[in-house]
Amino acid sequence: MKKNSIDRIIVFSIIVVSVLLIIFSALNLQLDSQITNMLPRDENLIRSIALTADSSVSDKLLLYIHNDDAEKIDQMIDKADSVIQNAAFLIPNIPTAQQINEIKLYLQKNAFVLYPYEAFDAPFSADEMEVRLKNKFAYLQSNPFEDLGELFFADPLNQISDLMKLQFSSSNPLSVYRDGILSEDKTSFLRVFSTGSSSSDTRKSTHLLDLDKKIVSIGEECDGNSFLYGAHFYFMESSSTIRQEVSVICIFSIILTIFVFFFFFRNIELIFYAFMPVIAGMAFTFLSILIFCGKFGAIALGFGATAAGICIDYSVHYLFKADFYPTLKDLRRGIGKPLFMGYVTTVLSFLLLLLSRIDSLGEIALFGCLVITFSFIFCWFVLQTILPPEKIFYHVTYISFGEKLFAHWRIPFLCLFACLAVASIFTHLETDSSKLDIAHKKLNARAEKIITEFGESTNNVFIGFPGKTKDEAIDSAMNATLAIYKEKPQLLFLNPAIFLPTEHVVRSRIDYIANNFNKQRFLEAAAQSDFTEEAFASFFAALESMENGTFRLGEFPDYLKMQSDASIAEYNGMYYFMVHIGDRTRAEETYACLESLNREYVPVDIMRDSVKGLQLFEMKSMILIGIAVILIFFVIFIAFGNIRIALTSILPIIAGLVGIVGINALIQKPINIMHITSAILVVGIGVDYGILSSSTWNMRFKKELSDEEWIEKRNSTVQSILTAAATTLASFGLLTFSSSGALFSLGISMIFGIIFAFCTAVLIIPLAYGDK
Amino acid sequence: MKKLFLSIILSAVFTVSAQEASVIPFPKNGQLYTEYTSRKSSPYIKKVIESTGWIAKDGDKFAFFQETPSVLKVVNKGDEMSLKIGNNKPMKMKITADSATEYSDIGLLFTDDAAQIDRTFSISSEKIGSKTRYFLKPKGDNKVIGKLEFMRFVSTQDKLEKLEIKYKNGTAIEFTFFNTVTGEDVDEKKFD
Repeated sequence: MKKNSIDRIIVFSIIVVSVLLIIFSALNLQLDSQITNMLPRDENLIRSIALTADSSVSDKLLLYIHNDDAEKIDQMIDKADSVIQNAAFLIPNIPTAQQINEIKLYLQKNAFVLYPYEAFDAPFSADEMEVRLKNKFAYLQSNPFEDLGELFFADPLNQISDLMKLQFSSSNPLSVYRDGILSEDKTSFLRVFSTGSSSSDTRKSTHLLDLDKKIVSIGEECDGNSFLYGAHFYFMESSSTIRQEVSVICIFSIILTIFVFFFFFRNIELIFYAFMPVIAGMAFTFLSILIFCGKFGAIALGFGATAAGICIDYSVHYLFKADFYPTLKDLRRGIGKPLFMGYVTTVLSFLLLLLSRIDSLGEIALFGCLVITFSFIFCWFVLQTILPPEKIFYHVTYISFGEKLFAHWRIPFLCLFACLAVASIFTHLETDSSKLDIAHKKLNARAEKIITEFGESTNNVFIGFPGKTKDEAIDSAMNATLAIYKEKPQLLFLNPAIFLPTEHVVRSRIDYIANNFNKQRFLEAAAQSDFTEEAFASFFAALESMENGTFRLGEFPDYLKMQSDASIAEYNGMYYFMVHIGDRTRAEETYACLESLNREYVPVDIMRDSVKGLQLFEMKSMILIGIAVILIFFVIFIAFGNIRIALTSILPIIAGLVGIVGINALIQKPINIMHITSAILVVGIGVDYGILSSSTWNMRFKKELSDEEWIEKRNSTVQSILTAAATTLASFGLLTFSSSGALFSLGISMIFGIIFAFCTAVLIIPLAYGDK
Repeated sequence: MKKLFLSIILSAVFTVSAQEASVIPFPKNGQLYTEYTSRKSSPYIKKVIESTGWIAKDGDKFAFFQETPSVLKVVNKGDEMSLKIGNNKPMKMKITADSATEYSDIGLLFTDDAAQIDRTFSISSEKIGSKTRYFLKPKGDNKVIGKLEFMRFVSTQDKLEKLEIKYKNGTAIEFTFFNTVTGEDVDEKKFD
């Protein structure tokens, strides 16, 4: 047939414009690679995500320096300082010497009111006061630099030491040094910075990556080790790794798909015709997402990179069948319905993903529906119009499958099916959502070093103390901290609220002091001590101000105020005072302690909070897939009016699902949301195979064709399904090379799902129609 | 107050080290080791607090060690200061320009700048035999030095013998120095 040069121009123009649109859209799309994008949104999880993002830890960055030669630490800190000084947005988090002094003066001045009388025994007995005054003098003897001024005597009972113990008794005695801390053996140094930005701030995160390279090189120059660590690096690593992998996968996916295609059609020009709907479909999909969304999940984009393997099916099925019909009208009468039903059931399976309430699955659903729809439209209205059966210029290379097809493979396939079906019984659901992310080996090793040498866990695990107002939240946090200290001091956590009581708490303490502190008893104890009566003038002045209602706590030290403000997060009209725990084991013990003390709190741990939702989602999804299969059965039954066709059409789906669950049980991988996603895709793709195979074998069953016509028809159908399966495998199979747990799961499940669906379509369905 | 006390000790040492040989002596080579006993009295305490220890200086390194009634050590090297109490690990911090300014003359004292010391204190002296008596009174009013009433010390050539510090609130500290050595290398371990 004569090739129409205008048609070629149209095809190539569409391809060129589409490629440019894809490049333009991909470059301008913002990628979201946060793991929370892959988690089902239940109330607890949504709250945890919001509070974690708003917490004081979310913007933190750690500078770590180590050298076996402790003498070189200073040199490395100097070099790091000269690198970091250009990053003005990095603010050291540890108080300066001046801030420490301000805190000390504030505590000294107000210790009498800051002391938590509601939790501890008041030191107002005669014996207790005598002991404390003696200790105060002993402290003075030990500290020649102590100023014997007003502030020193404002705290006659040395209650400042109780306050300091309340917050620092559980922490390791690390040396405060150069705005950071030294490890016990002095060979490691850690400094905390606030960056003022979340991990999704790409511009700052990129800047931090550059800084990290320079910091790492300092370690190399000085024969030590140095790096920066923070959530920003996880985000950037996931984001850039997935972007790179997706680009490579996309290229190889297309190359492999082209190769498979060429194997069957042996015509290079035809490849462009066949891929035109796919590329155009992708271009319109990317453009739509760019215009209407602007931002897209990295996982969904990863899926998009492999969508070529699904979309090519419409071109493949059409090009195979075009050889059998004289005109387009005849072809559409012959295979129009199966093609359209295949499209409908595939889109239907994608739409099911929207019910998951998981952002990434919703995005896959959106991408899938759009790309398949656009590809189908371009195939139906453009490809079929440009290249109708009357104009075909190629010949399909048919494989002769012999009379018995692959009948000898039935038994081995059934045995394998049985094995995986049994293995499926032992499957279990995934509870650790971190397995969906890439393995951050380098970053996790850095975290491990910090935990080992400084005992500081870097996990985002918090306790949130709720309140309808900020003051209520602060009170709640303070009372809980005091209760924990009394019950289990080893669980004590840092809480700046201890030093910043609310107005209400200050008033109640002043009342307590008025009712319980005996001035005369104090004077008698003071007379016994080594202090003169004149010493406590400032203390008595403060007492008087409490009695006449003029006492004021005074300005909070800047550092404590900053820490306290940063600890308050708001969500859904409630305030939460967030305390960072870090270590999960310790967090669980603390939760149990708070429960036993009947204290109101909210655990904030995205990983922990995602478990319940994940399992619930995974279970619900399996039920949903079952419902989808039943729904598809009825749709096919209504469309074809034939129960045998309807029943056999869903056999590849069932086999595909067994393949997915069975193989993962065999390799001991729990079922996660990406396996569920692939199951849904296999439902949509498997039914295509089922419909094509069933409608073809039904012709044999109804004896609508002669033996010769039957063999040709059968071979064309099998080859069509084989090509479709091969192209799908070629694209999804590459996902198994991804370092992302999510993409790997999608890849391995699709491989086994598609293979089982294909084998069922060509080996088992014929049996249902009496073809042995 | 630690910084006030320290600055006073340092100012005494640096004053002795100042360049103006006609007014203030200079310990040979900027090196000094001396032992001390001290007595601290105040209208707020009934008994005197006595302590013993030593002070060392070598160039920009300075160490103050208290042996009794409890162990305490302050070491200053360049712009780094460390404080060790008893058997606890030392706390180290950098003395920044800001904190030096905030606590008034800490920074200028560490610069070993005689001119600056001269601007902070008005200094008078009286020679009696081989000994010289110095009297320092703070000029102006600032956060740290402003609490000081006066400082008085006696030295023989470049060796401090006695130092008396009086604060405005009546607290007084008297140091007696002995076994003073100047101009010889100081054991590096003193500054650890």
